[in-house]
Amino acid sequence: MNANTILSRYICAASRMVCMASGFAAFFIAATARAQQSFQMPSAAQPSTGAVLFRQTGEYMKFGHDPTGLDRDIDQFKLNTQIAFGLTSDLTLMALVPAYERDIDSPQPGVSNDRFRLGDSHFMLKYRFWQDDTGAIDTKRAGLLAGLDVPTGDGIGNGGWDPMFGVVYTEIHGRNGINASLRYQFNTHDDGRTPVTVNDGLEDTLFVDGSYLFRLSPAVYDADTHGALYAMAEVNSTYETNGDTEVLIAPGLMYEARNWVVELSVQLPVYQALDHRPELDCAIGLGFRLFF
Amino acid sequence: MNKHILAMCALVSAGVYLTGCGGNETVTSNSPLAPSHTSLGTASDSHSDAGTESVVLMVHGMSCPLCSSNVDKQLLKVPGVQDVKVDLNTGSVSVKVSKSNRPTHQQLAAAIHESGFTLVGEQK
Repeated sequence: MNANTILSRYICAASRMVCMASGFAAFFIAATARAQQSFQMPSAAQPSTGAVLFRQTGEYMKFGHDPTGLDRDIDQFKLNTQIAFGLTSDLTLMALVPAYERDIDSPQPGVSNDRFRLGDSHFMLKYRFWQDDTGAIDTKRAGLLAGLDVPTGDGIGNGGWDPMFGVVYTEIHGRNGINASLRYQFNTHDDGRTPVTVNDGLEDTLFVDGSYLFRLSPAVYDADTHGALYAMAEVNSTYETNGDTEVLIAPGLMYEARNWVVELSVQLPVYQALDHRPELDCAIGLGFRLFF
Repeated sequence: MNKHILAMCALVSAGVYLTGCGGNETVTSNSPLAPSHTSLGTASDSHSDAGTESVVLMVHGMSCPLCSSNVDKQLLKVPGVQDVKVDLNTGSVSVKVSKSNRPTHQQLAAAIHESGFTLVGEQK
């Protein structure tokens, strides 16, 4: 093992430690700071008993710098359809069905393709185990997450029955809100395809996310308030058991009315050390939620 | 690429269409099946009409407009509740109830609990 290899491994390991430390720091800072749900990550907010929250998001993602030898350039449009149902005030069942149009260009024969298809569906239970409503608009909440990926994908996703466990924390104080979540996905199946995104392969994945939301308007609720506009900033980090590590930031805007929400988010890379899948160049997402 | 842009436009258009470009939701409802009504009025707005009276609940943890909708939906399920108005700033929830079919405190408290927030008091 030469000096360069040792040095690069040291730098790589140090970077991963910094990445993980920043993720954990975001989680624990959130425990002491103060949120509504941001675009990319879960929150501890839940629909009430019997209520239904429908969410539709569309996200354009561009990938490049493929280290796998396939030299792929990928344009992807991902459409997520999600329904959350309040089983009780503390327990929510959520189902998410993703659909993709993935346009892969590669100089390698047989790799390029472009078609629309379903991905693996995701089901999740969220149980709020702790809540402290400290004021009229102030609250602190924490929940446990248990999920399962179901192999509904048509050539996208790893095709396995993959469990996920996690914890999520939300705190709102006045105009400020913070979400933090820690999730671990056990991936149980490898369909043999070279991964494009996280969770496409057999490797387990740790997700560490944090977000801050600031209510831009109104500064103070009054009798005529019908909605609120928020600025969002997210940090989304992943660590896969094959060593692939990624930290992304996602600024955005959200308008929340009493029965609907419209959201916009841009996602950009901060740090990517990926040896098994291409890097994300950028992503832009739009979404809306309807509350029944 | 054009189809991605078209798809995004379609998504936004669908969202705007489905939501009806809301923001002026001043519909009054007395049915849990009707659109949610959560006028953010103040507790002092409440008054008694013939056949109805107002109860003001003080609720903590409603940090956003969507939160108030949860409270609204649960209270409107309670028999005897005819109208609900939420003031997010103060946490006061004005509930217009029928005098002839007045819900109990326990029923109102249970509805607040089911909505996922904390009832801290009641004014009559």
